[in-house]
Amino acid sequence: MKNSSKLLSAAILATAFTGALATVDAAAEEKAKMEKCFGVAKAGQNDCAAGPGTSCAGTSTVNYQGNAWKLVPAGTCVKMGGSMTAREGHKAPVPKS
Amino acid sequence: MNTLREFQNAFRSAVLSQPGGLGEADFAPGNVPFSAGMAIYRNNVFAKLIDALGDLYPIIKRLVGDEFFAYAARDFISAHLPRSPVLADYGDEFPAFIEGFGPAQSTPYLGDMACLELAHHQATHAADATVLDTGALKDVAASALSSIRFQFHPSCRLLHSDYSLKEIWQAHNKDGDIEQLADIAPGEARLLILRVEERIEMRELDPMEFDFITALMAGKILGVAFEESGGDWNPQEILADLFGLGAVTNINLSGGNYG
Repeated sequence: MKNSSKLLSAAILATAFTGALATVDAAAEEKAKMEKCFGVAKAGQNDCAAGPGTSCAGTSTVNYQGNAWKLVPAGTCVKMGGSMTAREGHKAPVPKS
Repeated sequence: MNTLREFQNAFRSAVLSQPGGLGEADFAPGNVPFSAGMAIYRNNVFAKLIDALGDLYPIIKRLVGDEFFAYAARDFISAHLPRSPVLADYGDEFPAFIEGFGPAQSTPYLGDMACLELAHHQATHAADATVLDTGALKDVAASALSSIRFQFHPSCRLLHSDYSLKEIWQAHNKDGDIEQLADIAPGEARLLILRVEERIEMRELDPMEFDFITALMAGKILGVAFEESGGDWNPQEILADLFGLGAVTNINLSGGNYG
């Protein structure tokens, strides 16, 4: 690679690096506003699953599996009928008004 | 029957129904005849390992069906008995096996799909590592930037395939969506697989990003890795994702560590 293009790619890298760090900071703030919500994910759409018979994300086998969770905006989990801790069974969540 | 090793080898041959295996004469007489007892033992060995492979490769199992999977798994197990007492370590030779498995040749992406499932499995079981605090990166001088090296999280895996693996994976991961398979456009897959907190992430990469991370994971310094990937594209998004997903656990700068 010629020196001029080397300088150019170093400049791109430096700008991208700074930009990336800013993005990460913004995303971390956003994430702090999410909470793990059990019993609200459709089958196969959980962010992660706990308990026997499943390994991890996308592996829940029934809708609203009580020990599988999904990240939802903070404060909305209980409102939509989910639970902040793992629960038994897979009853459909009943939203609270 | 002299040594423990000889006994174990003969036992193994008996489990695999191979010549030179243990026989009636090697056991004290009991209520269950040797051949019946060994048949039960053999059945348990195979059934458990078929289950273990099915847990490791659920998409392959769904793609080929339970019966075909058990048939292929049985063939695999006969040639690859566990070498480690840790069941989670078992089955890493299965992708190469299924790739070359004659009866499976009509589904050419099975080998690559098995690689993807293995990557998921290994990422799940990989060691924990403390993710780099990106705050430390803000102190890196612009002039030093090109010569930093990234250390990657132990769960990071890169995968390239000539097939649309992510779409095929998703179509088979959800019940009832297999019909979608017909709509999947043919295409390559370049994926970064890693564990983020307790879940597995699959980040799709474009060709430059793939070359960039390949070089970084090979230990090349940032500037060189970027040049090797073309050096004329914007790596901001992939850098943000590497940091955001926690793919980077540390950076080395002139021999010293940050973070």
